[in-house]
Amino acid sequence: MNFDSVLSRWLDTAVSGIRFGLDRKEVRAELEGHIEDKMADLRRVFPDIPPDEARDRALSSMGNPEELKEELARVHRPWLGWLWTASRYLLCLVMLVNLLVGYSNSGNIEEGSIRGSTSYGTVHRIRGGEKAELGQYTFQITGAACLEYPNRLDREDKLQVVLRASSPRFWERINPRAIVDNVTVVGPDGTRYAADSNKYHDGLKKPDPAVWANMFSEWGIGWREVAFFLPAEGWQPGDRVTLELDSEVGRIVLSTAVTERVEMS
Amino acid sequence: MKKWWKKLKRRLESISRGDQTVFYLTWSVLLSFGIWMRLGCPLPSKEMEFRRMERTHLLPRSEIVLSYGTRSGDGLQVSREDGSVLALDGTELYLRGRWMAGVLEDKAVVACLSGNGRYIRSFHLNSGPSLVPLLWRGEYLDNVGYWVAHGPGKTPEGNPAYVYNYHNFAPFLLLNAPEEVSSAEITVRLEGEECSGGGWQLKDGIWLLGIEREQQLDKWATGGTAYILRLFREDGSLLLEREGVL
Repeated sequence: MNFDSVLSRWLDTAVSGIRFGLDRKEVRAELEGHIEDKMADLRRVFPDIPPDEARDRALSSMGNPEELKEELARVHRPWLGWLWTASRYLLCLVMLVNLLVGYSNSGNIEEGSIRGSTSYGTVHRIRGGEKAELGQYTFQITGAACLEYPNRLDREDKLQVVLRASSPRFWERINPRAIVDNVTVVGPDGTRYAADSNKYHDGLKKPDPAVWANMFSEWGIGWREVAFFLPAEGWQPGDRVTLELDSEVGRIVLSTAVTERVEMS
Repeated sequence: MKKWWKKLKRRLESISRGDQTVFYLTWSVLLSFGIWMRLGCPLPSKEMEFRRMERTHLLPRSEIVLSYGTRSGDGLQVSREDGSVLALDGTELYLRGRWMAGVLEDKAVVACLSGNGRYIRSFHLNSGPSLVPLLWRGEYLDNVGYWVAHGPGKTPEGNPAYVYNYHNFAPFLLLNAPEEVSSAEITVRLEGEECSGGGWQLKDGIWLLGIEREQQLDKWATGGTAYILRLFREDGSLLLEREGVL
């Protein structure tokens, strides 16, 4: 039997108990290196030693391959190796899906976007506004300002009031229509306005008098803000605006003083 | 980027296989969470989706009376997104989209759970039998439903063949129907034309009515559309006739 086949058979037997292929290959290479080192040592100490004898002595010094096989099988448990391999493939797959989902959703401004805002976002944010609970949501007025357009003859001044609905169930962001369909805005002079969204009431008769509502003002994980715009005629700093939300699960009333005047370009 | 990637690779190689596994799994979970969020946080069952829609639209919890199925293995549905319901007489009725409906004391809630048309809406119920249209977003009646008659027949050229006939209809749920009802008929008056249709019983007190029209339907605007509902006993005599406005 030639040198290579004896060595190869010995190595195959020794590593045959390792069930995880990558480990088996690495341990085999390591053992082969050890044996070659031992043979090189023997040849250095005994320069005249025949190669077959050097091989036999090196192999016998490594011990019985059957015993080594059992020991190696005990040390190299396969599940960690398989889990490691599976986790690598899983990460690659998830990254690929992430790219595909991100690409396919790129045209959708709201559904499936985790956070975002539109150009009609909150102009002046207020802190500590009134809060009320309805359903599983906490409602709070988070923005109020008088928007002035000194350089735009085509636009009238208006008041912006922003209502935020947030929930600890971040996967249940409120539907903007649930707010817009149910809100009545009471202006500083007591005029009651039904909310209106140009998206929702497309093709239908608009309520009269109506305020325009931007359903996609701003949103994030578990919260959404809807901005209401009402006429600012006769507004004085400190005038109050009230939002009445009357839904099938209950009614809340929130109000805020509009104190800030913001010049819009 | 290349430099960063090499650095990451070197660092990963310097840690144990167990730690590498933890690293890969942690990132997989984080990225999967991102995917789930981007897909609109889908929930595992249709009932959970319906309940979530109720909550996110500030509607009270209703009792589910119509729930789409996806049992059809016969491949007759037009789109994979179409759900189906099985009538008591064995007819499989397909609905474009995945529709569910629930009832409260004096209200019905109808939702379409699929695609961009995800939509929920509540309707006030009258005392006694009440009609609830399955409307697309934008409040239009349309051919949302269809059923398929199939069997041996002939092609237009007169050759023998196995023939499938798709019957499209604008569907209405009939709730609180009396027990004695054996058949139902609905007539809607649209632009001077009267369109009628029959119905199928889904379960006790609940029917699905449908108005068929041979021609391609344009969208039928509701809001003021007059209807006549007729319910018949088993012997064919009229049990109830009600006129109303959709």
